Amino acid sequence: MLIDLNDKPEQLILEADVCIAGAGAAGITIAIELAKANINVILLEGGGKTYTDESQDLYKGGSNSLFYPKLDSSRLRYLGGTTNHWEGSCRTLSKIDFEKRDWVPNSGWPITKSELDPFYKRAHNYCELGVYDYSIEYWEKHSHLKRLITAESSFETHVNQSSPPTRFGQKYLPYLTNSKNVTLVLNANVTNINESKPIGKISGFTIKNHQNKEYTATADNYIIAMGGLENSRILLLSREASENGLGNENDMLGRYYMDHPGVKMAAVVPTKNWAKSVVMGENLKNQPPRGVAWTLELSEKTLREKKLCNARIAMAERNKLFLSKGVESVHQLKKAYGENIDIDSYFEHIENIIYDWDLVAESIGRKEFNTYYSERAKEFGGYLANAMTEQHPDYNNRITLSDKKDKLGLNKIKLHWKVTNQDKENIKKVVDELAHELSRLRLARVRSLVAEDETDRIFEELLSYGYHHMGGTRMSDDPKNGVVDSQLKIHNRKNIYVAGSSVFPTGGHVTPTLTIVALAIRLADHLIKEKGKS
Amino acid sequence: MNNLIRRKFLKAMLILPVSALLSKRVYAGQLNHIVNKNEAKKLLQKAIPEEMRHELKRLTQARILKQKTIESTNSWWTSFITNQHANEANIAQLIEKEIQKDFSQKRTEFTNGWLISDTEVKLSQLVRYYS
Repeated sequence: MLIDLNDKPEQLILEADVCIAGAGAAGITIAIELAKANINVILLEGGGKTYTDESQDLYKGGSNSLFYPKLDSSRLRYLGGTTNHWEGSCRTLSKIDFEKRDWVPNSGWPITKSELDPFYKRAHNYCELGVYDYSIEYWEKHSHLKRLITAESSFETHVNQSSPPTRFGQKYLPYLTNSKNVTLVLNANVTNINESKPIGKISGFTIKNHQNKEYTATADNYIIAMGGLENSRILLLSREASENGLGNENDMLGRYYMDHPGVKMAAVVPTKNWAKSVVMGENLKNQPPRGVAWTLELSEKTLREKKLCNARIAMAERNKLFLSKGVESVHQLKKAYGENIDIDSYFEHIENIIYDWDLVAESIGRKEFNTYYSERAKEFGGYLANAMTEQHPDYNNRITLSDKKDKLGLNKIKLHWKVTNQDKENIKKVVDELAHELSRLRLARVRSLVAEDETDRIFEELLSYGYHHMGGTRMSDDPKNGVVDSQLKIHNRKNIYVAGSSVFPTGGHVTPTLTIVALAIRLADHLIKEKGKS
Repeated sequence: MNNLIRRKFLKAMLILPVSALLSKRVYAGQLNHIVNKNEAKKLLQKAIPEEMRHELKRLTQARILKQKTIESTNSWWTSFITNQHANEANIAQLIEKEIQKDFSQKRTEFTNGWLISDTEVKLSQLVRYYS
C-alpha cells in the first residue's frame, strides 16, 4: 500500500509489526525481507517518489571543514535515498577490516567477515551483481581483465563489481506498493522517537508531512535507517527520556564519524615491462555485474607487518599536462606566494617549471585564454594512482547538532571532521610501499604526490571524498564503546535498531553499499527469528 | 611577487650557474685521478639507457655536490667495476641488478617526488660530471 502524507489525510492509523524510518538501500531491503516472511511493515520515507527541493533542503547542515562536500549535495532525500546517485562500485570488506588491530585504535567489529559472508551473497541479488567472487583469478577466466602484478608482492589484486547501479526506489517500488505486508508512506518525516522514562522501550515515531501536520506510527519494533548522518541526528534530537539523546548514555552518539578520503597519491609512469595485455576494467554486456575492475590492495601480511590502515588503489590514464610536475610546481609557488610560506624546494620548483615550460604555458593558456596549442599536453603521460583509504576512527570526528533549525523545527547537523595526522602518515606509507613495489618489479617509475611540500594541497583542495558517511552509531559489544550491539539494537533498549553505514566501527577501504545491504538482511533475519520465538 | 619569492629567485639565478661552473671545474679534475674518465664514461653509456640518463640528470640537477660525495661515488664506481668484473657486455645487467636490490632493500629516496635508488643517485652524479 502507498500513502502520501502530502495529501494530508485527516485520520491515519499507522500500526505494524515493524516500523522503518528511511527508504534507502537499508530500509527497502529490510522491508522486503520482512514482508516476504509475512511480517507487517510500515516504511517511512521523508521525500517523495522523485527529487524535490522541499525535501532535499532538510539535509542542509554545516561542517567545520572548508573542503568537505556540502551535506545536502552528498546524499539524496527521496525514495531510494542516496542509491539515486551512487556510482555502483561494490566489494566486500576484507577479513582484516573486522578485526581488532592493535595499531588501529578503536578498531574491531563485534562480528566477523565469515559471519557476514552469507548475507553478502544474498546482498548481491539486491544490488544486481554477478557471481559472489572477487578474486582476480576468477575474473581473469570470466572476463578480459588482466592483472598488472603477477610476481609475489606486498600488493594483491582484487576485483570490484559494478551494479547497474541499482536505484533502490525505482527498482523495488512495484514490490513495495503491491505487497500486502508493506505500507509505504511518502513525505513522512520522522521528527522524534518517542520514549518515556524509565528508558528501554520505544512507543512510536512522531512524523510530519512537509506542511508540518503531525502523525504517529507505532509498532512492536522500530528501525532507524535514515542514512549515515541522519541516524545520529534523529537520535540526538530524541531527548524526551534521555537528556543527551537516545542511546547516548556513554557520550558515544555521533562520534567516530568517518569517510573515505580519496587521495591522488602518485603519478605512475610505466616502463617497457608494463605488459600491453594489462586490462584494468571492463564493461560486461550480457550478464550481471555491469562491469568489473581491479584495484591494488595491500596484502593482509603487509598490513600487519607495517601496521597500516587499509587502502585500495585504482589507476587512471592521464595525459602529460595532467601529470606535469612543472604545472604542479606553479600551484605550489602560487600557494606559497599567497600565504607567504617559506618552502625548501624552491629551486626544484623553478627547475620543474623550466623543464615543463610548454605544459605550464598550455595550462595557463587553457585557464586564462581558453586556448589549446601544445600537442605534447595531450600525449599519454602515465597513470594517476588514486587511493580510497580507511580513516582511523577518531573520537573527535563527530556529528553534532547546531543551533540552526530546519523548516520542521529540527536542529541541523554540524559536522566536525578532518583527516588526522595519523591518516596522512598512513597514506604516505602506502605511497612509499607502492612506489617501492612498482619500482622493484621494474613495472613503473613513481612520483609521489604526497611529498612534504604538496601535502597541504593534496589533503585540502585536491582531496576527494567517497561521500560515504560512516560511524556515529557504531557497533560494539560494550555499551561504553558504541551505540548499538552486534544485532544492531541500541544498547539498553528493547525494541529499536539502527541500520546503515552509521553502525560501522571502522570504514575499511571499499564502498559501503554492499555491506549496508548485507547488514540489513542480517537484521531482518534476526527480527524474523525473534518474531518466530514470540 | 613578494619579497621572499623575489629574493629566492634572484639567489637561484645568481648562485646556481656559478656554483655549477665552479663545482664542475674543481671536482672534475679530482675525478680524473680516481677513474679513467673515458673508460667510466663509456661504461656509463652502456649502463644507462639514453632516456633514463636524461631523467637521472634532471632528478639530481638541483643538488650541489660536495667533494666528499664525489670522492665516495667514484670510489664506489671503481670498486663496482673491479669487483663485478664489469665490461661493456655485462654492465647494463649488473647495474639493473644493483638497482633492483636497492628497491628491495629500500636503499632509496624521494627526490623531487620521484622514488630513486641509491645506485641511480650515484650514477646520476657520475653522468652529470662526465657529460
